[in-house]
Amino acid sequence: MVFEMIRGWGEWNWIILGLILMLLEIAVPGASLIWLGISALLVGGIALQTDMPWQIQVLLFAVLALICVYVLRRVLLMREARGDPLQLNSRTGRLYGHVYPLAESIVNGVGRIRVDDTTWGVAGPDLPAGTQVRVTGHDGTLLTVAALDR
Amino acid sequence: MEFFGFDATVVVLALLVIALLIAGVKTVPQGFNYTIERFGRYTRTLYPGLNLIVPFIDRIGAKMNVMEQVLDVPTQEIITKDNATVSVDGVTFFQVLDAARAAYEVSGLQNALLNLTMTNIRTVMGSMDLDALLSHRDEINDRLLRVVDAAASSWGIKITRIEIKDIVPPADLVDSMGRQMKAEREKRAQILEAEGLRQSAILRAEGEKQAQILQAEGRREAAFRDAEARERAAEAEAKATALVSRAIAEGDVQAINYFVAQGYTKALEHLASAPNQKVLMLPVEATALLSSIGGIAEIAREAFAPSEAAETKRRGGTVPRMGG
Repeated sequence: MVFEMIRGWGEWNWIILGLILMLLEIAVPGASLIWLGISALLVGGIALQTDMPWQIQVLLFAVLALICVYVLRRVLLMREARGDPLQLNSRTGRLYGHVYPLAESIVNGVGRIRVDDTTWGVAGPDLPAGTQVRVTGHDGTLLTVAALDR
Repeated sequence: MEFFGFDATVVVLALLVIALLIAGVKTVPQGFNYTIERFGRYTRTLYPGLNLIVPFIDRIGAKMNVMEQVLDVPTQEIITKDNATVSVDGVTFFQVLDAARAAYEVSGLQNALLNLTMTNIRTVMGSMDLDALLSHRDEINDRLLRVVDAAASSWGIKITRIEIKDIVPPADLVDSMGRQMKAEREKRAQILEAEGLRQSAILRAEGEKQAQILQAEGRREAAFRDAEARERAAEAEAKATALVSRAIAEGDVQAINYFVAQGYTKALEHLASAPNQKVLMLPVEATALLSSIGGIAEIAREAFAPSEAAETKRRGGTVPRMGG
């Protein structure tokens, strides 16, 4: 009977559950079981130190799982704020600050520059072809450029 | 021990938390962007890494690949400006820059890009003739890139490259192109050969002219020298004659006769000893010869003057008289 099993759920079972969940996370990555696993281990650890009813343990397990995810995500976000030095999959981001000559003059705010072996549409002040411009940002697939200040 | 409502609630709560976690924590792999739809409406884009979404109301809409992708443009027949039918295939490289636009602005992204590229290949190539087509691929790629890139930019897509892979004109056209090239080269070869012949003829004539000029100069020089030599010889002759006549004037006339006689006899000897002439016609004035011998006799007489008798005896019996 399920209820009997839950009632008889001991501290060591939390720890075993935690380890099993961690194992499962390795087998199925990205399924978020790791948080449940960590939380189960913590509950097991706390339950070993103190004597608490199983209901509290279950509640603690749920709350800890949520806290785990939240805290870990904070930590990850803080680390990510340092930026991605490779600028992977961010073609426009990689061009920021670089200087290129205009392949076509900017007329009515739209022109083109040649980067590597492709061309990009650029938006900026009207300038003749050949002028050196600096990429300052992007708007969709258009790069915004500014004339290089002498 | 009874199982109370509170206990059941706790268990269900735990299950709910588990479900929340599994549904709400989304790990996005590198190279993908996920769009999030809240009640079916796009709200935000998830970037690679760990993301949290609100379960039940947020759904993953599209999993957009933001890596550069390759699209094979299948072979198609196009008609050039000068009405040649060629089959062309190509390849397109594109990258999704704006996952949301790429997901919702266009339905069937790859299909749309493919059709856009194919129709533009037709447009661009149809405006050129075959020779330009085969020789200006860079320009074609550039024009295609510009047009398709501009069209696709509203879908948040950057076309990085469009390359025409193969341009295959029909076999008979290729054949005549080959023939044309061969003819061109043959023409060039023949022209070069003719040029060579012309040059060599000119050179040869030049050489001959030079040679003749040099020869004439040589002859002129030689003639000058010959004349000089003759002048010198005549001078010497004159000098010798003067000397001889002076000698004669101072001495005796008869002295000359000795030399003349010597010359005559030597000449006769030469003629007689010629190897292939047994009979010899001589238009010799024998009398002159004889008179020269007579000259010798005179000398002899003067030399042997004392014995008169012997002298007359010799004259009587020795000399034959010839032709009256």
